[in-house]
Amino acid sequence: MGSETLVELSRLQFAATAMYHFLFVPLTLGMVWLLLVMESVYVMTGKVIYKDMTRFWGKLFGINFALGVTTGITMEFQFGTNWAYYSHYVGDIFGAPLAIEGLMAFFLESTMIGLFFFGWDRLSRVQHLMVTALMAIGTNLSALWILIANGWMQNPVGAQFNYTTMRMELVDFWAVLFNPDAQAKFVHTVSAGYVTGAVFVLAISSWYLLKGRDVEFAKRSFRIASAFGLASVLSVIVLGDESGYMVGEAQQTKMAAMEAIWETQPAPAPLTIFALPDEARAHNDFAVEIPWVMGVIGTRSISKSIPGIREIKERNRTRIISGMAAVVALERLQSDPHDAAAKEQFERHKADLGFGFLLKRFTARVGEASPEQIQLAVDSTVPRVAPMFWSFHAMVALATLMLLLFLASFWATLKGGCADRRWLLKWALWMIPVPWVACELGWFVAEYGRQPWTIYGVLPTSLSVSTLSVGSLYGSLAGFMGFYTCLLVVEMFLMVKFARLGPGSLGTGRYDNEPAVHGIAGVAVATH
Amino acid sequence: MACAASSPAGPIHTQARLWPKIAVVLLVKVVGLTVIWFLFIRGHQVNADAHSTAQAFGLTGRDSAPQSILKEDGHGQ
Repeated sequence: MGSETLVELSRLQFAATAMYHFLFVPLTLGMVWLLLVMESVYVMTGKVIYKDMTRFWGKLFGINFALGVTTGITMEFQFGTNWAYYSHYVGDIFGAPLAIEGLMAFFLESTMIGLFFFGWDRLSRVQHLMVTALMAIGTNLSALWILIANGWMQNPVGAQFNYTTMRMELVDFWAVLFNPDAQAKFVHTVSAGYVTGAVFVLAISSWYLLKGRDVEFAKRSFRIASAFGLASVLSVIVLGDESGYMVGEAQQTKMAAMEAIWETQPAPAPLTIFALPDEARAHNDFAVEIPWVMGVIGTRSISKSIPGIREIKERNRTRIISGMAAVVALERLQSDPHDAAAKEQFERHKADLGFGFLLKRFTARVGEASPEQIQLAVDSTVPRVAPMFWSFHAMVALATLMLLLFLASFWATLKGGCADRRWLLKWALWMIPVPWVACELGWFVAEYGRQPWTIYGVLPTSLSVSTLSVGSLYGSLAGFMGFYTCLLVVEMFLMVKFARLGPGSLGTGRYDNEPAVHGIAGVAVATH
Repeated sequence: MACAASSPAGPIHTQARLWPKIAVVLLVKVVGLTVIWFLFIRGHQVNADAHSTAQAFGLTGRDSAPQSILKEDGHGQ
């Protein structure tokens, strides 16, 4: 078991690389479907402006993909380098979806992305459209497998612990595949990506309209982004609600922390939309509540109560005490695998083994843990409430803001006057960082909210880390952050450069900011 | 409409200029990651079999190494 500094540094390194990675991912997830919509219109109507739209936005998509794809690979390596005991303990289950994701990402997704960029003059329209569709499917399938792996960390199903191999072993692959937590996470996460792509296209199109350049190109991009974005943001909200329900079912601690529910709420529980959570007093100051709503969201009923942090801690205390018996039995089985009494004791308490492991952070001799040490372990089962509460509520507020933006944009599109509403165009432009902030907050809630576990209820984070030197972790952390920051700077530079150049960067002679090589270049030619 | 007009030989043919830049970025990225691996990761190996995991979890004997430093508030953040 590593020192507290080692654990914190390993967590920081993984969190930092994951958060950097997810600056690139949602744009890829969302842009690819917008490209498919644009190209589908091109194939159906034959209007070349839609081909230009596909190629131009595809270029920004390509910059993002090229810079972002390997930022995720380092995370997979970190499971081996920084989380060796985690990998040993749950690698049987966790490794399978990661391996399938690798196949999806590197074979289907990357191959199709290559064909997308280099196949314009080599494939027929319909063939190229099929490539774009497969690229979209591949991109989203790789996200599916990652989220199946992550969903299993949140809700470990289909596996059991083998004390002779000291690892969790897969007993039901289908349970892992159809883990309801993973499915809810997948649809919520990819929808958030779709919103990111839509805001990106909407914002840059708005900038062109504000500048009065490439107007027809921008208006069409704006229309597609507003319709796609509205559908996506509605999906995010509806599926986020489903995700919240799944969290409530599988991880009541996370639900209680993100909603700052200190005491068990009688059914139907109210929703706290604003409060200042006070950890020391286990109380919310200045709470503003809406009756019934939390009960309906969290339990899908008006008759079930939502357990509060105090009740959850007491339940966890019982499980920790049961887990102590499991750890003691496991220690005896390590000395003598044929000890029948130890086997029997282990079988009775093995469901709480993970909770017994929590005590390892506070004492080497779990079987002799003092009441104070047990209390420390009990307290450790709940993450800090204030960061959870504020992150979750900020994410919801930003999602609401994006819903309003897309409602206004779609309404303006229906009225045919998006280019005339400068306030809307400015609003859309300034909204460009919002979906990224919301995505990062969402991941923070999901991952920080799972603490102190790497695998919820099974394996504590403190037991998962490799026995590395603190110095090497500081060094590699600095290396990764420096390098990833360089990648981000390059991405921003290229994105801004090509966004400024606009569709003129395609060199077709039909757009602004390029020499007219075919006489009077422009939209009139491009749109017929 | 035929799409042949999509690649005229204009002075601003940025499509062609983008690929070398992306290739350079990818190359820099591979070299950078290799350097990080070489400097910080290559020499570190962690044995993670059943015995070493049991040992790391403090399950193999009463003389287990001291556990982690306790946090003041004990939260699992």
